Amino acid sequence: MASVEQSYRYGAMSELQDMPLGQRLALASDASHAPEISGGFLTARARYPDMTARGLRSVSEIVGSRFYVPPSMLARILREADPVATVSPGVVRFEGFSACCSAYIRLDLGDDALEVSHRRNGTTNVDFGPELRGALASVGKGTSLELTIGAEAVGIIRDGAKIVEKKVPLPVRWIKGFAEVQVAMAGMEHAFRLGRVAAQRFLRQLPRGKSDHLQWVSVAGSMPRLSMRETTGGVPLRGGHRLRVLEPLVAAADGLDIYTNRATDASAWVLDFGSQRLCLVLNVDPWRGFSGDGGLLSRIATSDGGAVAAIRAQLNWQDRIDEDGLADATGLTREEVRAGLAEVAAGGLAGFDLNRGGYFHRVLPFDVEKITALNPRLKAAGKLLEADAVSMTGDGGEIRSDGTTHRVRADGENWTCTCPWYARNGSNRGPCKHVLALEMHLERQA
Amino acid sequence: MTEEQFLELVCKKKARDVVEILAATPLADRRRHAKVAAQLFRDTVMQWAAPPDAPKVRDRDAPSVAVLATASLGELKKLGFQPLPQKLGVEEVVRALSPEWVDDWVEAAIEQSPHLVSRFAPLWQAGLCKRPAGEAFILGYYAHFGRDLEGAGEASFLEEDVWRFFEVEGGGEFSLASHDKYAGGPDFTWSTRLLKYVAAGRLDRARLLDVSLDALQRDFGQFRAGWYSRFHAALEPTVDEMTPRADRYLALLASSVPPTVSLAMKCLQTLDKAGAVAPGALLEALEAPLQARQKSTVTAALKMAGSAARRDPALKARAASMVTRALVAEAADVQSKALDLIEKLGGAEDASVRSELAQYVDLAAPSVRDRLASLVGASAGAPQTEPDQVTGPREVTPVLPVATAEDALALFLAVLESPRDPLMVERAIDGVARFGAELRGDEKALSPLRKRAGQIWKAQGESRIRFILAATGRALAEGKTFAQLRREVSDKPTYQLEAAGKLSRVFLDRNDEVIANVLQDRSLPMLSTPSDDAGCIAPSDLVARMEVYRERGIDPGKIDLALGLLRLSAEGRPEALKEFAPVSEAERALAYALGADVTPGDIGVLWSAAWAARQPTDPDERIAALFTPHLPDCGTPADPELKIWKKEQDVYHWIVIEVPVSVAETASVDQAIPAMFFPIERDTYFYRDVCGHVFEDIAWSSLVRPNWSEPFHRQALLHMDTSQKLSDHFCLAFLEPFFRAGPAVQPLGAATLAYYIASEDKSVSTLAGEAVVSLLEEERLDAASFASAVRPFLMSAALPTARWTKGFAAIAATGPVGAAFVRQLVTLFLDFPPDETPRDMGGMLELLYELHVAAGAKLQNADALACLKAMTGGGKLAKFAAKLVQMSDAG
Repeated sequence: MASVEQSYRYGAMSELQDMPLGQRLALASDASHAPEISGGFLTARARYPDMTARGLRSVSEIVGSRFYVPPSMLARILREADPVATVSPGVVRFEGFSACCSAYIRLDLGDDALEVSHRRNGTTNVDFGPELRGALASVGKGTSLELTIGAEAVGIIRDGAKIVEKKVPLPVRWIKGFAEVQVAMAGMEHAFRLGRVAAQRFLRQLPRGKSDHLQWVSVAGSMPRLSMRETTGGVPLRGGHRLRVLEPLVAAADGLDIYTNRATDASAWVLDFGSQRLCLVLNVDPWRGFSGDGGLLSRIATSDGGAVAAIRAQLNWQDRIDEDGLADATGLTREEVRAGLAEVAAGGLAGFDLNRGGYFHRVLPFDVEKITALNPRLKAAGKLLEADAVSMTGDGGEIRSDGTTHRVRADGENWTCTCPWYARNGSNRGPCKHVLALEMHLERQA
Repeated sequence: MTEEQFLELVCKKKARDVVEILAATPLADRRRHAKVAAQLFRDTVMQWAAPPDAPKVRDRDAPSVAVLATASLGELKKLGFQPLPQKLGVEEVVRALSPEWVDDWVEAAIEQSPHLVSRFAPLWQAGLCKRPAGEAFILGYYAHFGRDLEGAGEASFLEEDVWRFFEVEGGGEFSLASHDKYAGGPDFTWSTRLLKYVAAGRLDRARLLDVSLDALQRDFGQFRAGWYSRFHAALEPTVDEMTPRADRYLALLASSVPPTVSLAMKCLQTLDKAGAVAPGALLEALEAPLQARQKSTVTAALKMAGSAARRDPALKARAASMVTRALVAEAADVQSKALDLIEKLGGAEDASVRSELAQYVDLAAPSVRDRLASLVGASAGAPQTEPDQVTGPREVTPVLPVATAEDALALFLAVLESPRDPLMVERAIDGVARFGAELRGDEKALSPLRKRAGQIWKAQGESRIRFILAATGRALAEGKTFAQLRREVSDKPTYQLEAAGKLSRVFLDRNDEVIANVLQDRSLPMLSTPSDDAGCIAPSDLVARMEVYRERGIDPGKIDLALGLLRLSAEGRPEALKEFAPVSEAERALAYALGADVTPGDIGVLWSAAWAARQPTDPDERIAALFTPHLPDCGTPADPELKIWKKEQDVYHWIVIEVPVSVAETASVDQAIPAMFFPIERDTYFYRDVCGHVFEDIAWSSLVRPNWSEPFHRQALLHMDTSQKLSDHFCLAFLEPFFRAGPAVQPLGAATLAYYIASEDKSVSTLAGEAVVSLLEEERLDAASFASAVRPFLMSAALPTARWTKGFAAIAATGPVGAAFVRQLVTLFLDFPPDETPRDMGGMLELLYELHVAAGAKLQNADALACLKAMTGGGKLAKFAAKLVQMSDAG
């Protein structure tokens, strides 16, 4: 598995400290991707300390989870991949991605959830080990909890060293998936909402153990129903045990909103606590990473980068990027803005907020752009193009590859291909390398 | 030293001598032989049987020693850190060779296999390497309970290592929980050993109490966390010891690990009795256990909430509010207890509590709903006495043939990747029959098929249907006959196209016939292509297809036509027959299937299929006589009989199912014929999987006789193992016919549903339940016939009754139709004598009671009431038997 080495450099270890008037959750920020900031990114008091602590535990739990175990997966990734925190004008967000790349989680703390005394916009990794997760279990309703991100080192020393450094090999698909899950979210529609009690009942009926059956979740009356057969409007779900992370929190939520992406069958499960939200996004199969969905490949393959550059110039830690405003500012059409934003998100520069129905700016602390070009399908398409393997026909093209001629034909808005990849996936997971090669060929000709 | 000298040294000398000689050789000289040493190690030690040309070694430790003397750390890593002498002490080797990488080697080797801790321990004990610090070092303790802890080892264990036991969780292979579970008795467990140290005053008891609670806070997996809760309990903390730790126990109540919550509950109960925990804090901490999945936890939490309110009456309102959360429990008795407590606490008079209660009215068990509704001043809604309108028979959708050669190729490529939908598979083969001749001229178009079919052919895979599809694809793309393909694999016994006695053989032979026409450049419709998504062929369609063959003077394929006859729809036969003037034997067979009185010919496969197509079947001696000896369902009805019993051996018991038929089953001269009629053949111990053993194959088999699925369900009954849990259970395919349009469910079909509901695999049991609901809506299944199917399973006592209770509850929860059906169904069971009452019937009676309450109905069945009245004793069974009798007119 291709991987890149991710370095984390923390001035200290994150810790939950007992203070004279409560507790202080001091989250150390990673200095290797963002410069040290005087006073740190955030100092705030949690208005709902137990819920904030439980939400952070859930983020950490997903980061430390592996719902599918590819044989070559390294245990170290489980232990050391850290969540990403983003501080922006109205929301503080903590994001995590499971080691198996099939589950993404984000805790959004709105201004109503925090009394902010210091804020500095930015994105950083935060040190968040199992010890801290355990300690957070003790935060109760009555606790006064101060939350800091990257504030001055709190003096915790790990292994005798003041500076904590970790080098973690992160699989390329993990980093790409982390970025591209945002694009999957942008393509989601709201399926239904469950009230608190119905959501609780639903989560309780899920098996405690591993469950890899494909099921469809639908609503009959106010109650959710799980079915083994596809139901009209149902949300596909395999690996329902991944939802268990929501169970300890659902009792405190106002409701559970369920979204689905009809093209990729990914789903999002958003616990709504009013001032904060916990969003869990699942790919339909626990063994499938979001990076393989490739919905943006056509765009990336044929983009000249102009729209993206124009959009990037307008990014300034917005909580919600106004697409109309962006269109006015850049002179791009609304469609170009939307497509460009998806590309920006896949590059790690934007996340998607389902509740607000729009992208927000943040900068993932990974070299996402560098690895986008490593996409196997893009690379293979490039090779086909270099080998002059594409020839045009009346309704599409023929692509010669390893002694085989694949025919690509226009079918409405999509292309069809005679390759096995297309036969297995259709257009649901983006174009195959032959379609990409044809698109690149057409772009060159244009 | 030359390479030859080095090899001679390692092969001929004892390991100890090799160490001595290499230790005296300069390191740079030794390093030159690293590759040779590694290869020798691979050839002689890593392989359980050395290759014939491998050098012979006198001492098997010598190659390991040679690697340790010559390799760099990277080279050792490539060998998986395996070179380690078995007899010669590693201490002696390291002392002599003094490798500079010893620290990294030890750390990495132990990381890879914690078992090695005991092998390497002498090294750090002798100061020859650093003591490893990684987690794997602690896992080494979990792996080796018997490891020597005497002397320096014991001191460091007690001072440092033992405390890390409470930080290092371990995993599937190494953990304290798994060690102690399989230790072979309490004397050999880590728990007992640590308790002995405590008793001897050598381990700090207070610290152990704290660190075990720390461990429980760490989100360890349930199985592994269980060790720490048991250990904490085994320390038997006194009230004085628990009191300062009360906050820790309160925090643990929110744990997601049930045994951890149980421990905390027990400790807090003790503290509560002693008045050593603040009632307010206790009440707030009960929020999570009041909503736990485990009934016992919720019940205990309710008691503690009541106790907290008693100790501090000011907390009554808060307690009542908190207790409302327990209503999320599914069990009626828990809901009832929660309401008792709420009323006792005065919650019914509190508007905010009533408002919280209102959220649960719709979800409450029927027996609690009225009470809850009256508490909140709402209506519980009218009882559901009238089932919703049933949907009636399922509409069938026509299966349209592919329209172009391009579509035919695209469809074939798609089913080659995933042949899970048998209708698509049949449509794809029909596409080959219609457009194969046209495609043959287009090499370029066929090139992807040639490549992909070749790959699948080579890999073979689990699915016979897919393999045969690959063969069909190759035949089309390469212009080869099936006979030529057979010859390619004639010398590979495990790689044959034919699979004797399996329905895939029918698929193969039919495709062979289709390809034979294609290779003669004939474009023809496939006779056996289903006309609709029920898998049936409209008689008029088959007649029309036969006329195409007649007009072109082509004999129809025997298997293709036979399969077509088996798929013949029951509708429209007389009309089709009116327009049909049979001439050839094949046409006469079709006419016979359509109901004509014609004299059978001598092609057994055609006439037996034509006979089977006439449902219900009456014996026809003329057709039976075509087979010597007679075959079941070939002119003579098979008349299967279902036998179910519980087999016991020692402490084990299991269910045995047999479905014998009235006609003896024997191998036929033509194996394709009995395969079409789903024979039962035993391999050595098991019934042969006639339909295949993967979803794709079984799904295709389900389309062989869509109008008469009893033979298919006979296989379904024989091949289900209810204890088997799989991520893609092949038996799901046996349920497929229930979701297609079809006739009323027959006895073996009903038995399949009854049996599958009891599967431990949730996907199977859920789908079986959904099939029942779907059949009810289509009025293809009634309570009486399903009760007859379920009864022998229940009465055999081979499987827990609770599985059916759960399945029936799920069916009842789908709506009024399901609820009414389950009410009738369970009522119909109740006709057994008291001494034959199935075990665990209490849950079933509770379900029956709740369903009656929900419907506002009374139990009126006289047999059922007599059965209930005869039930004696206590427990849930007697309680709900009495309630059901009371609610009846007889009560």
